[in-house]
Amino acid sequence: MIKTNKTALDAVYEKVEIVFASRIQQSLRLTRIDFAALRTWSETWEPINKREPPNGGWDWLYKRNYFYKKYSTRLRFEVAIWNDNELCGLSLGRITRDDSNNSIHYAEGSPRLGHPLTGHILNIILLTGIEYAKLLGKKRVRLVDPVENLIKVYEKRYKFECIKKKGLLGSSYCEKEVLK
Amino acid sequence: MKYAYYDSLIFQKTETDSRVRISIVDSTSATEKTLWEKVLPLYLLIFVFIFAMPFLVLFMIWIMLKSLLVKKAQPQPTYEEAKQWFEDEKGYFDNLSEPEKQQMVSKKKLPLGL
Repeated sequence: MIKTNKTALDAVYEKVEIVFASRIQQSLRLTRIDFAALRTWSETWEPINKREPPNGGWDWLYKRNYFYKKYSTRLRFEVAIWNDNELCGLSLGRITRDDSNNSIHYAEGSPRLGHPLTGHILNIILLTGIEYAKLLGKKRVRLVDPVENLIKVYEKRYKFECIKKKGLLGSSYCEKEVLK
Repeated sequence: MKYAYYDSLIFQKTETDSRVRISIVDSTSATEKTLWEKVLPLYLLIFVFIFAMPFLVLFMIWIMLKSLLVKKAQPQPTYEEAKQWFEDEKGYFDNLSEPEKQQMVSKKKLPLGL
């Protein structure tokens, strides 16, 4: 048997690529947030991105390095969404050690208006996160500190349950059961 | 100041009563300079020391037991196992109804280029 360096997350990428590629009639490739993704982010997103955190516009190099330092590969969720050689979306999160959840902390689409996967990025990120959570036997997918004007979308369209920030140190989140 | 060296806390019993002078002295300059100084009753210091002891012991026990108490990460399936899992249609998407599948992949323009 040939040994591969691929992991369970790569199998999830392949599954999501198959699901979407046949339905959206666009080329779709999912990868980790590797050096190619970061280089493309700094060359194509950063110069035109007018968004300000917490509503997008994150420094993905810093965020990615922070997550890589803090969490091992098996405790990390990451996805870079490509249409051919155009980077269309990025997302970062973490997996809990126990069976509770896969938390998605950051998700952002390309700042280029009308990029080829416009309107599909959130679907792709959520499906990747949900499939990965289910594969690992996690009970829920959690979106940490959701952007205010997306909360209704998460609740109505994706059936997430959103909880407002409690106390000084708590954070807002939306979550959805994935183990049925 | 970046490379300055300070003497550690200096405890001095005053001559007049049972009070303790705590000071931080900059000994790098030619003339010693007191940067901070505080005189506190000796009994207050003893009380704080005794009061802190149980917490210190608890903290040390916690540090020792932490590695045992923190749950170990669950084992992760391999790439091949994950592929097989999807082929067996155990994934989330495969178990949705057709309208749910349609909704999951249908286009919707959202903020943040999503």
